[in-house]
Amino acid sequence: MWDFVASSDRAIQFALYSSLVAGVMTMLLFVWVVILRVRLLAQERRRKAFIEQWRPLLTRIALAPDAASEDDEGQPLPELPKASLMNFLNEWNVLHDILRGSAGLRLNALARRMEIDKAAWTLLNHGRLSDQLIAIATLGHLGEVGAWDRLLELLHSEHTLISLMAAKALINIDADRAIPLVLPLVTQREDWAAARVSSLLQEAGPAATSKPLQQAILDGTPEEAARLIGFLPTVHRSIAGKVVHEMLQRSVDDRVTAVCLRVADSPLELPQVRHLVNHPRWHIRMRAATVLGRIGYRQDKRLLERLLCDTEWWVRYRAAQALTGLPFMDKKELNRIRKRLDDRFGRDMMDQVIAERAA
Amino acid sequence: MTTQDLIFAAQWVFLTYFLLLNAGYIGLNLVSLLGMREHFQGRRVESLPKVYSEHEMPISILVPAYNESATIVTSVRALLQLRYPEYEIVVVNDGSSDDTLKKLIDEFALVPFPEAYRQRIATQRVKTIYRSTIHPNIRVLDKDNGGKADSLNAGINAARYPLFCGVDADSVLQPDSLYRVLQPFLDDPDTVACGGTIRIANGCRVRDGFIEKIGLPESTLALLQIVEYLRAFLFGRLGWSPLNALMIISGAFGLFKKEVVVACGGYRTDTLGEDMELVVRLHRMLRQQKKRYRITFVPDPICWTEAPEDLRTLGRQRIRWQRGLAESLTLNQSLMFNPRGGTVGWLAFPFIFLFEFLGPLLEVGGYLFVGVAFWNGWISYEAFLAFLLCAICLGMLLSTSALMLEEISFHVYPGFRNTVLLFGAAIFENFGYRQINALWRLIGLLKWLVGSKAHWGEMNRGGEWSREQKAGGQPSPAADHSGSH
Repeated sequence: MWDFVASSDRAIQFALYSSLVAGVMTMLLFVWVVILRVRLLAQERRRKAFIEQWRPLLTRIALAPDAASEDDEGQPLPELPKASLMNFLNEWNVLHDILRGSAGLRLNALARRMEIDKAAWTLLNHGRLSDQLIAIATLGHLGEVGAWDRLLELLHSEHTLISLMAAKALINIDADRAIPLVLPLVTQREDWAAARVSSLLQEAGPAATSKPLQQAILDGTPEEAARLIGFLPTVHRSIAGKVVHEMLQRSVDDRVTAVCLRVADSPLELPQVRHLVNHPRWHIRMRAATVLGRIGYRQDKRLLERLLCDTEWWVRYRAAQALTGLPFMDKKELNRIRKRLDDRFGRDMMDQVIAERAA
Repeated sequence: MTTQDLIFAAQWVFLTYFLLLNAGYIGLNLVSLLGMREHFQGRRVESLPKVYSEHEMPISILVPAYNESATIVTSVRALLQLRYPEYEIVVVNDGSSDDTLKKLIDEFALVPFPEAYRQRIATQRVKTIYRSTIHPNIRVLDKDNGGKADSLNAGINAARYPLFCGVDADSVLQPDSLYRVLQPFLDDPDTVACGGTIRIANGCRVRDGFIEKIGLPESTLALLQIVEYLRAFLFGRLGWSPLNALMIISGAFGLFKKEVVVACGGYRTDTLGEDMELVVRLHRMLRQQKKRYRITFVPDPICWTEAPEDLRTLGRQRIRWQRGLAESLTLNQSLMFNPRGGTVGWLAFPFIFLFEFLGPLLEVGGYLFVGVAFWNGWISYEAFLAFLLCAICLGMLLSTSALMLEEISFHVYPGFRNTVLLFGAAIFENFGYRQINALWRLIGLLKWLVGSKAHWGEMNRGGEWSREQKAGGQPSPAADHSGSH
């Protein structure tokens, strides 16, 4: 074989060497695939055994105060093999996310007894990304005040998941202290998905979030305000109402106005909303129509009728929906409005929405 | 230049081509590996801040249906069971000649509905719009026949929600498909389109429109296609996605921002590869307009489709796909090496042009050259074997690396037996299957060149959930052009 390689021309040699490398790599990859499969099966077995043994125990300890003391005093805890540490941390953190109040304290007592705090620090300092993420979650749930500075550092990490997890952990440790640190990042970090930020703010609770969010919106630039207003449903209703009112009055920016209209639900906003049905941008007219459907009075019927003849389909659709949704509106009145309309598109829209309501 | 010089040059051209092609795919493989690592590191941790449900955008699911009488009811029933807070199902009956519409009317108690239908994209005439009296989120558009792209356009016109998801009527979805494919839209507001991995359902047990048990098919042809799909999706697409250079989202399942698609004019009705053409056009137009956007891909297996189990149907499918690819590239050729083209214009487009569009020509040409040269005694027996071995070994390496990606990511096929079977298929496909595939693609390319009239032909399907033969008016599985590499 090697004599043949040496005597062939360079193209053949090249082809043969390439084949050899590819062939060897194929075999190595297959061996790797087999090793991965063996490891996977072992992991699955371990996880199954862990779940069978630990899930009932963790639930019992979290939910029944006596169980914890029982275990404290008499029954020793089953041994946790090192390979099952990640399984334990996942299970423990998920329980923490689900349960509230004293259950969390009991889970923490158990974790400290098992020296999970030390394990979390080790994972945070020496682990892979997934280890670090779970370590951050664990330190947060443990309320590890000593981890505050390190978590603060991780809050500014460029890695999206690390920074979000650090924000969550800081909130878990001390929401009042964490929210003023987290909120400025909400406007700066485009990689923080709004859906996850909402979840964070919900976790912090309205008591911790309301005032700082209010302040951040009122003091922020229009871009910042537009992003933050979307999170108002996570704060106290009274404060959300005040912020929306103030921002609608200021009416500094169309984006801000549009977001405010999405959450506006107080009759106090009616004068401003009635004014906005004439706005040159159709998406603001559309949202104004929706708000009128939520909070409008009998006199707003005329405004909505006018919007039924709007040039934009969505404005007509929302206006028709708003009309049918008004509490004082019945089928006869809706048909009367339909007949009154000169505009064919408006009539078509009323037909559609009346049919939708009937269905 | 002597004949010997020509032969020498040709040897190096074909060898370099094969090596470049495989090096390119191995490069994509590495990008996929990194992307996959990131994707799974986060997923291993269950305690991440959850997605707050009020931010999930409602989705319109569009189901074009042409003579789908055998499966349409099961498909819609399965769609009704998807786990997602707010979505609507818009079935578009594209002038079926069977009783597709009647079955829908009977099953879902449809009644004609006076909808203020807005034609933002021109389509064939929509005759009637129906709405279900049992499920308010089901509507059916009955329209004149115009093909799949036309049906999707009609569906887009009727869609109420900001995102639409085109689904083939015979696709089998995972219950959490919409959640998974929505994720990139939540994480990055610039996302305009997202696709997911399509898997082959042959060999799986399907019940009530969902996969109940995953398995490998008995048919060798379907098994080979499984490896091919793994290769195509796990690094053919996942590799391009982080570079924002993904050029196809399968027509079998893809989520799009409606307004962006409408602004681009919707699906083209005069191409066989409307799914790929739309994505390439989105790239071209959004780059021209200097807009920030992302077209992305989630590797999760979210949609299952049935693969053909006979050579005739498979051949027709591959010929169609190649023609679709050729049309998509040529209709948007200005994207290639465009100053504003970015990664897609300077890397993905030329790569696909060279290795997918011209690939069959060079591959079949390479095999023919080696064969003819050996026959005429221009090259030695050793050279003949060396070149053949090189092509086969590099092919095996690529397929096995796809298996490796599958193993470190989803490992959906359980048990050792399946691993060994898949490895066997990864080796075996290089002895004939890939070569015949290259031939079909070459035929597709030639048919595109001579501009012969496109027709879908008949798709023979033998799936466990629908044994009926379906006369095809629609392309069914995902157009998957990188499948043969």
